[in-house]
Amino acid sequence: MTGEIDRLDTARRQLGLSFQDLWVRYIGVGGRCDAFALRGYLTGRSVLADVDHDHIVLALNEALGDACADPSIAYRLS
Amino acid sequence: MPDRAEETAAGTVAWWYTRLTDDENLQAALRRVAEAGCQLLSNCQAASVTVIEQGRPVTVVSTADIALAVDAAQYKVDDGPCLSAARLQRIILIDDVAADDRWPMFRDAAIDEGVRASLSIPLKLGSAAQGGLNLYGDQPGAFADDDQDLAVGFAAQASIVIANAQAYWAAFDSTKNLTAALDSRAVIEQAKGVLIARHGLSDDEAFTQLRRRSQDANRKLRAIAAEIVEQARQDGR
Repeated sequence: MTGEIDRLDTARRQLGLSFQDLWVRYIGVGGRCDAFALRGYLTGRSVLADVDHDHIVLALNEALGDACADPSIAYRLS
Repeated sequence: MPDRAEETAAGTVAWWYTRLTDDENLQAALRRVAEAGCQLLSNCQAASVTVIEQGRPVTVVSTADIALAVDAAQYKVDDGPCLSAARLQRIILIDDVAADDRWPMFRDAAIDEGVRASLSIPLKLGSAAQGGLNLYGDQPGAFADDDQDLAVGFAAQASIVIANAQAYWAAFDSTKNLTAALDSRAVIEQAKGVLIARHGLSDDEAFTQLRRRSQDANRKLRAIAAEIVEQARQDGR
């Protein structure tokens, strides 16, 4: 679980996105949590539902695609 | 009674603030800094603003091509009065360019362009960048002592204006991105509504189905959602 979340935060940093930048992208794909909850999740201080996790993955994968990188972060829900 | 420097600087700053939101971007604010700086000094022939980000200098605005050429000669050897002023954050005055041997590349380019005096003033641009206002004159001794005082006061206030412009445009960009995100989100919510109504899915199931379609088609979620909404609209006619 921790490694999975670390992967998200590593991608965020690689993309040069602040927590706020990622939150705006996350809201744009339908994310429901506020910016504090997203930051807390990525820094291991709070828990989110699987579907919320997948919204973050989607926001990051779309950002990776925009940056011509491989959008390969795995989703939790199949 | 305020002296010339106080009067001019106060008037210029008031004018800047009223114009801040009229500028189309940060570069326009910097252009006004260069233009106002040059107008402030009676013997100023040309002015430019240098910004150094990640060690690389760029002239972001200039009032005349001669300033661009003289700046470029300094960037070529990564040394010169405007770069030193920006990096060391101190004022550098050259009264007579031909008699100053500290930066030969700058000296030669300046003489070629008819520049005989220069005054380089540091600008504070936050932690990520260094900057300088470069003022060039066509006569030796173009910038007198009171011009220096005027330019220093001007640069201090210009730095505040630039910081405000940076904050304003950062907030503007942030709002623009959020507006685009909310537009995208509205379409996705509509598409989820279509899937919920058609297939009796939960909200989370509708999202997962949309996300799967997006992944399979290697297209953005918003594009898939827009197609579903459009199809539903056509089906309803």
